[in-house]
Amino acid sequence: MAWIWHLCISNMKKRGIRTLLTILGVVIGVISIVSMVSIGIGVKSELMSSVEDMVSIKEITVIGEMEGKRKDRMLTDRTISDMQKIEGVVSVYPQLTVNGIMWYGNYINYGEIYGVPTEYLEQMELTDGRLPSAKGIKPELVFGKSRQEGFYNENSGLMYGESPGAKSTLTGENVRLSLGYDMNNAESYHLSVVGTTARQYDYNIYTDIGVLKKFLKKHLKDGLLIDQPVNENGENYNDWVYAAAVVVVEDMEQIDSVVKRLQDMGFQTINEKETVDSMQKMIKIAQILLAGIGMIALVVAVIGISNTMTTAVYDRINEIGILKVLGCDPDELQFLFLMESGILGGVGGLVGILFSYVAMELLVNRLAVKLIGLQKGTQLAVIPLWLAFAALVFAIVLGLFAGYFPARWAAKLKPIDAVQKR
Amino acid sequence: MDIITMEDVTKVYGENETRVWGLDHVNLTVQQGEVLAVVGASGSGKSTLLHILGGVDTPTSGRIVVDGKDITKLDDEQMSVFRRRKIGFVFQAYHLIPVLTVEENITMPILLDHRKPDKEYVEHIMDLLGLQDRRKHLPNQLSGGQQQRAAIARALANRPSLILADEPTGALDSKNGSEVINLLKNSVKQLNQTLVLITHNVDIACEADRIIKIADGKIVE
Repeated sequence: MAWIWHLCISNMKKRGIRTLLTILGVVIGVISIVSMVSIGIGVKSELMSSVEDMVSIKEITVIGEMEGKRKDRMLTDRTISDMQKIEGVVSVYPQLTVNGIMWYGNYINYGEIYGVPTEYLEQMELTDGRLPSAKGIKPELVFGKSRQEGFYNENSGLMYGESPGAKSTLTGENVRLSLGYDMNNAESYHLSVVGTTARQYDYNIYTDIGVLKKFLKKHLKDGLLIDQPVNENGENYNDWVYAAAVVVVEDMEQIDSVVKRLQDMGFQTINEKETVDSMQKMIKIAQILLAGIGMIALVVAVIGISNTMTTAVYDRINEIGILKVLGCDPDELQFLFLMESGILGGVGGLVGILFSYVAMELLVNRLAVKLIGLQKGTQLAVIPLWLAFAALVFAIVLGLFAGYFPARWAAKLKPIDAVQKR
Repeated sequence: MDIITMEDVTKVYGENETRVWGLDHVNLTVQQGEVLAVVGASGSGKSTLLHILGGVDTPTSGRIVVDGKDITKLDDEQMSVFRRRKIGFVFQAYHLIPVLTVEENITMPILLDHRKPDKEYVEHIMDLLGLQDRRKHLPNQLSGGQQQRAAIARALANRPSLILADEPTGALDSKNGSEVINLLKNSVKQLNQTLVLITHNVDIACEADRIIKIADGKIVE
C-alpha cells in the first residue's frame, strides 16, 4: 500500500498547479455551502431568541365564560386548580379583570385593570419603579410599557404619546379611577402608578389580585361586586370568577397538547405558537434556499475534481499501462486514483472549513453585523461541530464520487492499449 | 526444459473483410535459459507474439504454456499476478515511471507483488547494470542508455523466469545499444533466465542462441 501513497503524492506534487486549482475549487464549494448553512442556523437562532423576547411563547391565555349557567366553564379557583394538574403545566395565574375609566390630568382612558398574583408580577421585568404591594386595600398600579401612550386629551385631540412634554413612563404619578363604564359615576379613587413594565407593546395595567379583591368588596355597586357575574337569583357567586388565566407550560413543544386539554375543558385559548410556527416555516424555506445556493458551488467543485481526475487518467495513460504491464492489480490501480481524488476532496474540505470559520467570523459576525446595525456580538453565522464534520465527510465522498469513473476506466484499460498510447 | 510452449496460436484483428492475421497458427517452444532473437519486418507480428507471451494481450485461439502455466485460462486478476511474478518486460521506449527515482522504479514490481524488496538483490542488479550512482535520479535526468539500463534492472527485479524485450536498443546509438544488449545477456545468463528479444539489428540477432523470423504472422525460418 505504501507505493500507492507514494505514487499518489508524487503525482499530485508533480502536477502542483493543477492540484492546487482543483483543491481551490473544492475549498470555494465547501466555503459556500458551509457559510450558507451556518448563516441559516445563526439567523434562525437569532430570530427565535428575539421572538422569545417579543411574545411569551410558553404562555397560553385562557378565557372563561363570564355569564350563563355553566359554572364549570367559568374560571374559578376550582377550575384553575384542575388546570394545574394538566401534564406539562408549570403554573396557572388567574387574572381578575375590572373595567374602568381612568384620568391622568386632562387625559382620559378606558380600559381594564388586571389583578394577578404576586408570583406572576415577580416574573415581569420593569423599566422603572417597583411591583405593587400585596398589602393594604388600595391597589397600586403597574403600567404596561406602552400604556400611557393610549391616554387621550379630548380638548386638544392628542394622544398622550404625541403630546409635547409627555413623560416616557407614568411611574410615580397618580391617576383617577372610576369603576365601570359610567362616566357620571360620582365615586372615583386616586391610585398611584408604582412601576412600568419593560415589555414592548404592553398595553395592560396590572395590580395585585388580593388587594384588588379587597378593593372591590369595599366598593360594591348596588350591593353587587363590579364586573362579577350573577346567578339566577341576581346574586354574586360565592367564588370569584376570573375573566382570564395565564397557563405557563414547561416546554414549547407541550403547548399543543395543553391547549387541546384546555379546549376539551370548554375554555377558549390564545397563544403565539402559530406565529412562531409560521415563522419557523419561513426560516426553513430560507435555509433550504441558502443551502441550495451553496450546493451549486459544490456541484461546480465536483465537476472540477472530475475534470482533473479524467485529465489525470488521460495524462498518465502511459504510466497506467506500465503499472499494468508490471502486473499491478486492477483494484489497486483503481484505488490509486480514488485515493488521489479523495485527497483532493479531503484537503479541500479541511481548508474550506477552516476558511469558513475565519470568513464567517470576520465577514458576517463582525462586518455584516456592524453594517446592518445589530448588537455587537450577535452570532449571525454559526458553524456547529456537526456541520464542520459533515462538510468534511461530504467533500471526501464527493471527491471519491468524482474520481470513481475515471478510476474505473483506468483499471479496466487493456495494458497493451495503455502502454502503446502516447 | 521447455519454458514456453505455443500451440497453434492465432491472433486475429478486425472482422470479415477487414480481418488481419496478427499471428497465423504459430507453434513455438523455447528452452529454459535460451536467448531467442525474433526478427521480421514491421507489422509482421513479432510484437504481437511478444505481447501474447507476456500476457498483456490475449490470443484469439490456441494454447500457451509459460513456466508450466496455461496463461490462456487466466482471468484479469490472475493474469496480473502472472505478469508480475513470471515476466520482465523491456520496451524500446523504456517506459519508466516519470515521478519515481531509478531505485523506486526498480523496486516497483516487488512492491506491486506486496513483498519487501530484497535489499541485497536490488543492490546486486544495480551493480550489474551500473546504476549505483544514478539511484536517486529521476528518469528525465538520465541519458537514453541509462534509462534503458534502469528498465532492464526493473525487468529483473522480481527474478522472473522470462524476459521479453521489444527492440530494447531501437532508440539507442550503436555504442550504447551493444552495451545494453551485453548487459541484458549477461544478466540473463547470470540469473539463469530466458530471454526473448525482438530486434532489427542483425549483429545483435546473431549473438542469440537461436533466431526465428516472422512474416505475415507465421514463423518462416
